[in-house]
Amino acid sequence: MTYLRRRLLFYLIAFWASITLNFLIPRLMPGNAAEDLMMRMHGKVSPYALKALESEFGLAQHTSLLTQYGQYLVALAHGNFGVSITYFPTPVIVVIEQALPWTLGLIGVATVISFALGTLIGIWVAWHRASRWDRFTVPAAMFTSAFPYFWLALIFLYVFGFLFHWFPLAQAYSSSLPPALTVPSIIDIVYHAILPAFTIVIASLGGWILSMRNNMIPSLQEDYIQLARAAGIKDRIIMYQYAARNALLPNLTGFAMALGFIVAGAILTEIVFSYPGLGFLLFQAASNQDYPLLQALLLIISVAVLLANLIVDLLYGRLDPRANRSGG
Amino acid sequence: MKEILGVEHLSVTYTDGNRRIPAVNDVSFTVDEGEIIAIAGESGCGKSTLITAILQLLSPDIADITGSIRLNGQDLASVDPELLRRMRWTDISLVPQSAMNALNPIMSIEEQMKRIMAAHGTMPTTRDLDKRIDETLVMVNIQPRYKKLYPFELSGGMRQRVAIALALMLHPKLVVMDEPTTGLDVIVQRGILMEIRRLQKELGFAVCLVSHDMSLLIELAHTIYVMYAGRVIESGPSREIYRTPKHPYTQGLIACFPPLQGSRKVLEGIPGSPPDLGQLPPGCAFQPRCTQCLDICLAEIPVLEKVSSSRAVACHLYPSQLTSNTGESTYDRIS
Repeated sequence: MTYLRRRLLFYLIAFWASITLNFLIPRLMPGNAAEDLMMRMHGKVSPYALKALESEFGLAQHTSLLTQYGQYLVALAHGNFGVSITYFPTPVIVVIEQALPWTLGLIGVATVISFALGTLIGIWVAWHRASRWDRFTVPAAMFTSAFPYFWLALIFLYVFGFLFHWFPLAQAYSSSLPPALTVPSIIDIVYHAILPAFTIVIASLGGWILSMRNNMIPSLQEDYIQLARAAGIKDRIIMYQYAARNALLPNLTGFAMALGFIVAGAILTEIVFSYPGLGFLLFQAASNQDYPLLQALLLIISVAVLLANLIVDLLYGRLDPRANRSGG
Repeated sequence: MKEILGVEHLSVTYTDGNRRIPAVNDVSFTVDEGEIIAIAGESGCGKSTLITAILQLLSPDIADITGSIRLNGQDLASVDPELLRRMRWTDISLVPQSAMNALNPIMSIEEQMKRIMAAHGTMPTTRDLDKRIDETLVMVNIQPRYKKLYPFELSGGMRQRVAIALALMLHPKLVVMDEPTTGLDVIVQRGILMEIRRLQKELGFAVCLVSHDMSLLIELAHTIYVMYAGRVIESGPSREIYRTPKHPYTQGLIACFPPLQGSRKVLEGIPGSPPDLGQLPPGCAFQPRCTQCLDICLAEIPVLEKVSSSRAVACHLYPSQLTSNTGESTYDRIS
């Protein structure tokens, strides 16, 4: 119980720190979004319109930083992130709401598949270490995890999309078939997701295999594994319940980080495959100096990292009794 | 007495590329029903290899094993894996070297006990199982309510008791104990020893005890086998070995430990350190450290030969033609 409370307190503080930094950083930068917008419109905006824009974005200079902070917190509590400049005048929250499911669906599912598959292969390869499969898997895993991701994605897109026409070249769904909860639409969405998901799995699988294998091998040398063998416990149970359960624990932290960075890590995938998710949005926001959108996205990324870590922490407490009960 | 374990001419050689490291060399001994035998020696003498080989835990990929091991009348080399798995823990169980690491850190004591029962298909009803677990814990003086705890929540002594409880769950015929009191303070050690002795009397299992602690072995064991550099260099009833150690190495081992009773005396160590098993000296492996070394010791490896009806020693100080059947060597120590 104390473990849980301590963790929750930590996450609360971290959450506060991240929203405060998110507020401060843009304001520490020279210039502001409204001036920027005006520049882009080549001075066609009147000073009155600029004033209006400034107050719209909450960037009015005459209020103190503290007042602005207060307004920011109130706006945040209402889910009001302002209006996107790129997609003017759509509110940021609406833009994000449209992109979020695509990213979670594609990158989230691909990350979970990659972690689960990599962990299983890692367990199996460590159990049969020094076998033919181990000798093949380790260099292969190192090889695939050394690929630069954007290059891998471009090659896949070129070969399987452009040359062979097996998969669509871009987008998350066909323009003739708007997304809906119908069978043809779901098939269409999955069809669009296969190639990008595959590149993510290929690129990250090697890392999961290697780290699980490398955790598992020392864990197989432990005295309690030897004792379990001497006690006649079946190999399958020793492999999963004794060795893998212990070896998995350090990997969970890595998995939490990966989950948290789903939102941010999607940038390259979504750019290469023109996938309408958060990463693509982040790229656009950054290149258009769309501060409200950028700020909201950065906040979502930090909250996602925190949330993923919290979930894994809670899971850790269940999987490792030592985390739950040790007082220190 | 019925034989439980028979080890004959067992040799274990670790192979690592071109290097061959003989860790156990031509070791033979038997353990009868209810007997306590001890294997004594410093670290690196091959005693741990010997017991992992007996327990069939050595992978043939890393070690060549020759000789035979009979457990309860069956040659373990010809037993199929599933039968071997069933024989484990019911015929031969293990109290491991360090109970600190020998219990699975993320399983409660109860779960670890249940898994062992389940592995042997003897999963009775939940109530019987709980009763069995409680009884086994009570046997080693642990309150049954502690079964919900995890290993890290127990003290070192309690962990060792749990390890003993695990070993006794299926009422094995032979329990191998690998340094069962290492890492515990003297008072806890004492308690554990008393426990082992009491349980052995009550349940009548045979024990194969492995330790470097001669005083412990002499107190518990009926028969002692002293190992040095992978070979048995002296064997015999523990009282006799304690009173008249023959091999200079055994003499050194006994001189290392204070007597449990009697007057104080100056403790002597054995000069030098155990040899590298990969690079043994010529002749007798103990020769570089021996204070009574003869010329022949540098050239010939002494073989283990009987010096009386119950004792054997592998040392050139006791040439076989000079040993009479009176049991005591006429070729006395030079010192």
